[in-house]
Amino acid sequence: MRPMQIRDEDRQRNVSEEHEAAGAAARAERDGEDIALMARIGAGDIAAFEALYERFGALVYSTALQALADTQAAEDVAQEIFVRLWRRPGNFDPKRGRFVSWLLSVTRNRSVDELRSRGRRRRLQTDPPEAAENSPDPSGRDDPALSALASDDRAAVREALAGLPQPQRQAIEMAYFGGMTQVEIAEALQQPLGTVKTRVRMGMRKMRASLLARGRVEP
Amino acid sequence: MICRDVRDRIDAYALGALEAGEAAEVGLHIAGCDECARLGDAAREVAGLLSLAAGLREPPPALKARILARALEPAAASREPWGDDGGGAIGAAAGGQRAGGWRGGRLALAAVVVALAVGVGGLGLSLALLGRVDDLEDRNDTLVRQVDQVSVGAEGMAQFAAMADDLDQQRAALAVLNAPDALRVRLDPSARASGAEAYYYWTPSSSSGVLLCSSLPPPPLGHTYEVWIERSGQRAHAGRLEVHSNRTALAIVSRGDRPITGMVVTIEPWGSTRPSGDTLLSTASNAPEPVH
Repeated sequence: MRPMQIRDEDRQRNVSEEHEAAGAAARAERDGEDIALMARIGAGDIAAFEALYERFGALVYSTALQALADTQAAEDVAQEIFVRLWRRPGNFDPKRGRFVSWLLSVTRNRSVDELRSRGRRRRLQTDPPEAAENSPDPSGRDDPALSALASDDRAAVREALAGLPQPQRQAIEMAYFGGMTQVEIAEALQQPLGTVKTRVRMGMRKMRASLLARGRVEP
Repeated sequence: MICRDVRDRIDAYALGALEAGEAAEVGLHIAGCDECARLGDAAREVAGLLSLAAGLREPPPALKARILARALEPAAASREPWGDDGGGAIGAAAGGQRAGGWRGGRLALAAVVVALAVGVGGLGLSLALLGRVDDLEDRNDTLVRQVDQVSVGAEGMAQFAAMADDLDQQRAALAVLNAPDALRVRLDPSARASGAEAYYYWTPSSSSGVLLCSSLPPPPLGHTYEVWIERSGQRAHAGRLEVHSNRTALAIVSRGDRPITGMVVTIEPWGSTRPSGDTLLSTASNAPEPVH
């Protein structure tokens, strides 16, 4: 009985490893396509720019909307991000990481700057990852690239976030989805600032280790 | 701020969870420190992917048309080529330059901000504009308003707006320019940059400073402007000077832990790793002076 259990565990582990390897290979292929599109955009290919929008428009818009909770402002930020990408494609350097993470980081930073320029009159509205995970994809799109993003990259990020100790996860969510500084988080939670700093630092490093193990970030 | 301090803050920096002044210090440091910049890139990669944890929302169909129309407007003629080599090659940034990549837009944004101020009254006025406000966040808002008031033209504003997400580098430059103990030294132009104005700004407590230039001609075809610091008779590479379309340039220059004795900018063929070309700008024997 026991040897059979071990073989089952081995089989499951092999299946899991094969799944991870296949996911990483698909991810690498998509990243290569992103870079190729950016290279074409660098050469002034407007069709490539349109294709890139089709691929990432919903992600960029959703990221901005998540931060700003204002559809018009989110549209403005998405427009600004894509137009800038067209005018200055060299801002992305493929040696420094994946295109998708760069694009979303730039979008989120721009959104938070916009939010703060308004004197923080609006606080970010958190779209809890748990709720999003169990809800159907509101995009309802059939785009294969977006579906692929939804099915593996997004799952990996959610799993990594869910795997954090609750205090670390809370601190990261308040910072990222709530647009709060560490000082503001410490005040809101009535915790020492040093504690919040440690939670953010440890949580982010665990996130990276988890995403690295899933082949979602560059080593 | 030393490397250890920066690395303790790098994850919060990537999340945008630092206070403005602290973020500016981190931004300034990583602009001049390869290892901390690498750690910053790694943290930003994780932070960027966090957006995927939330649900997707479909943008309105009209947004795509708006974006394409905006991209094809005449201002799009200012498009810049891929990467640092200008030839469209992927990842061909030469020599691991700090311009381009994650921080390229910030340098360009700062260049635009300073250029706009320089354009209406020289570096002195730009410093006056930059020094008028107290808080780093307020500084940006104020600059935007001031830039708007001096009617810089549609293209300038479009460029400004298009790059406005990359504020960290701008803040880093502002932090140096407005530091009470900031120093500067003039770089004299050679005949190849006749009429150019250039200063290197730094603070005694920081390992990085800011090189600001105006009225610079673009580099000859196939050449770049490279920045070198001089110490004990030796020159060490310190970055590339990218000239903006309005002939201004800004570079964050790391001088390391030890004092430097001079700075030069030379005209180099693409890929050159040594200061072999003609001098464009040089501190010569100019003495440092307080900024404020």
